[in-house]
Amino acid sequence: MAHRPRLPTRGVSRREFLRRSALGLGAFALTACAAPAPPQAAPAAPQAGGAPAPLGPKPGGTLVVGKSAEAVGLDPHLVTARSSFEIIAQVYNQLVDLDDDFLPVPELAERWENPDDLTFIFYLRPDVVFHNGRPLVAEDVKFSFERITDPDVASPWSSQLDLVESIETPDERTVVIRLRAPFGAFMSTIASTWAAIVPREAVEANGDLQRVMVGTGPFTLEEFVEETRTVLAANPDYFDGAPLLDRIEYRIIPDEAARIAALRTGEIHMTALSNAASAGLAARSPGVSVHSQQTTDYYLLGLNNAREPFNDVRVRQALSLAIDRQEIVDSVFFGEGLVTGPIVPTLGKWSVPPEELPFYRYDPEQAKALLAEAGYPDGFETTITASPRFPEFTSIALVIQNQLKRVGIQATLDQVEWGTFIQKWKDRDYDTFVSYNGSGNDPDRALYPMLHTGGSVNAFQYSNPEIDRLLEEARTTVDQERRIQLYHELAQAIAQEAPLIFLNTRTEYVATREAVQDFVLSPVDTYRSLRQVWLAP
Amino acid sequence: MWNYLVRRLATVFLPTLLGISIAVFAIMHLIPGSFVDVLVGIGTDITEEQRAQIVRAYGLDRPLPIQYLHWLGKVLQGDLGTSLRTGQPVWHEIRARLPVTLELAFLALVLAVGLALPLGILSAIRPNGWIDLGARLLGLMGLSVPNFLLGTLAVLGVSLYAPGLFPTTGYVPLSQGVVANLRSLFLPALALALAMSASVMRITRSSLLETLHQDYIRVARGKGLSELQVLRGHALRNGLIPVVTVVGIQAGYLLGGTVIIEEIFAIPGLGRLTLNAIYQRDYPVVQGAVLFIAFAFVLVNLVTDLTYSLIDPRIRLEE
Repeated sequence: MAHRPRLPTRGVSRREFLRRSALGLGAFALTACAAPAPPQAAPAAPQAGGAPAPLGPKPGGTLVVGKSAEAVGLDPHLVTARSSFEIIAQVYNQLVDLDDDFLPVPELAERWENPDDLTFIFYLRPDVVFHNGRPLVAEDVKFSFERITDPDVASPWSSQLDLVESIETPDERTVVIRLRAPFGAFMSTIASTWAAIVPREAVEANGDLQRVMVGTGPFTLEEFVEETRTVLAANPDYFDGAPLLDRIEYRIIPDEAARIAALRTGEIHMTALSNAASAGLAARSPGVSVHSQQTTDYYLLGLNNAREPFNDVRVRQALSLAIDRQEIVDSVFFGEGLVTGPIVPTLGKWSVPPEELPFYRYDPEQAKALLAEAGYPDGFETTITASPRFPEFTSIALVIQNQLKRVGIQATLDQVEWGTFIQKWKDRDYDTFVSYNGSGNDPDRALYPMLHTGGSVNAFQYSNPEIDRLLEEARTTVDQERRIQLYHELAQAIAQEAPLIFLNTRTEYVATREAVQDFVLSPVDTYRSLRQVWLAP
Repeated sequence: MWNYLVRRLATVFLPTLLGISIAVFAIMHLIPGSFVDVLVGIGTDITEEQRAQIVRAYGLDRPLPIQYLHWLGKVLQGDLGTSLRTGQPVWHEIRARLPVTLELAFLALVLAVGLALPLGILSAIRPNGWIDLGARLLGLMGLSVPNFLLGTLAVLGVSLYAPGLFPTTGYVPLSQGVVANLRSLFLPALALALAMSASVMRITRSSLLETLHQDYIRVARGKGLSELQVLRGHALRNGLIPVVTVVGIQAGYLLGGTVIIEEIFAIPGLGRLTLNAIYQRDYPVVQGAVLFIAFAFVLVNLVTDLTYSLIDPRIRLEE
């Protein structure tokens, strides 16, 4: 496991240390977004690299990050790729952020009011300045959100703000947003990285923000040499205090083995790793530690509910019983990952533990009985579609293929290029497929579009009035405690229906050199700001 | 010669490029998955209407022939269009990566010719000698093993048995030192060069061997010239004509061949640009890059043809 150097004197927990240094130094103010702890449900992440230096955080230095793919553009409103958001998160801010319980905390808005279910009034911080020197005003929020929904801009995120009816700016520091209908997930929606606040003049001067970055965040863009490197410089005027690092340099190293080698030689300070095998390899290298974090993304086996035999609920339930989710976690992900129900355990109190859900216990005998009842005593033939673009999809498909064989189902693996996969997904031209889905920061995000009749990503062609009703009610309820209740009900109902097979959560791995201090992974947003990170000498 | 050039341009050069651009355009739109599909992915909550909006915003809702003609019209004015994914002019994208690919191709060419010519000539002088046998064995292997396999084997071999001898992945720009730059390109260049040197070596050997049996060579020997003088003054000049053709054609292939090699060694050149553009269905970039590679290919062929007349005055291009 992770290489963990001994602490200099007595054991001081990392959080404890962070708290102390925050108190002791002042300059290093801890906000809720700086150091979230892993949620209860997730296994404790290995401790961050290195012992805290006795003298506390030391400013200065350049953090070199190895990146597997170049950002496909830098405009927060236009991109969808992780490789872009990783950089965007360091340069831009949103109105609000989320804490460990996925509840909103201030960011650009210092406070807000919710006079009724449809109205949100945000009061902006007075001390926020864009990287071009102009102070942030309410009009920037209006411009940014309206840019996302502008048909001419064609933002892939426009649907997320569909429910926004109007945005008004009574004065320079006040934004009033009115919704068409109550929306329980509104605050978490505008806390997303794509909901960044951008200045109008930068958009107008450049057409878009794909190659330039003018944000309010802790870092500014210094250099962007595509496919080679991207350099961010500290923003000394950041409203929440200047970052400790002078610079962050991203280097593009597509090959994972090459990135681990670069980490070993100290050429780079940190890099994300795609799978447990390379995480293990990196953890065995001296001077390197590996952080892992369960994300709110999960793997799934999609079923075509409009096709025989998956239109029979007994067949779907049989599949849910026949698939040993823990075996997938153990054999494909080396034990890293959590078996998940319809709502991922990473979402904390929103989710229901898998053992309390129907048809979740591995039981091939009952699966066979259900298949026989549905008229398939000898099983049936089917295909599993997967894309080698994500190698773990294929591995999962192979394990499932083997598990299904035990209950008499003969599954053929259909491997296709990613573009072809998307086409098949769009045409609903499949029996079953392996893929993964992001839950984002609210259960509504994944469930509603996926399972509501005619939902935009309901590739399963699933339709059930009772589920629809529950989804709508949970979406329009603003009281969060009541919402949690509704999602618990939904989890039970969805598990009973098994319109798709939820498998396990995706683990995020980041390997760092010992010198990298105070780096924390969070389930809320893995592109989290590197503002509090510093380099030990 | 000018007549020839104009005729070649009109009958071969332009029709080839036109045909290739139509084929690439058609194939890119025939394969499943469109640009917007890949952009939106499979998890994004987006209505059909919004999808249609994105399609319209990128101008992809127009009939395909119109899209093609629009593209062609711009190309004829010297504009390759802009990348759908990055919004950058395609020509900028190509220009930024071209030097890397050119350097890689050039190194491969130098390695290949540097290896093939001496081996080919030595084999021809002493047919069935041990150099000849060794070279023919190597040649056969070079021809039958595809370069991506050689590349993968090179990565594997170096990482396992000589780690650190050469970097197995990534590219070091020239600005960070000539030696580091050459080291980072050595393995990919070698992988590209081996197959090429095999064909060049074989053609050098057989062509020179045939020339060495000509009567005029016997006359030259009869005049009392040394074997070296015979070779230099008489045999090589004639024997190398087919070699120039083969090197020319192979040099053309090199640009296309870099596509897979660049991917294996993570070299940020034209090949990776093309491959990524194909994955992302970035039509203008694929069309621009393929057109460019095709252009370079036919250009190299043309130059090869013109070179004949320099080497051998008997070849008159007008005929």
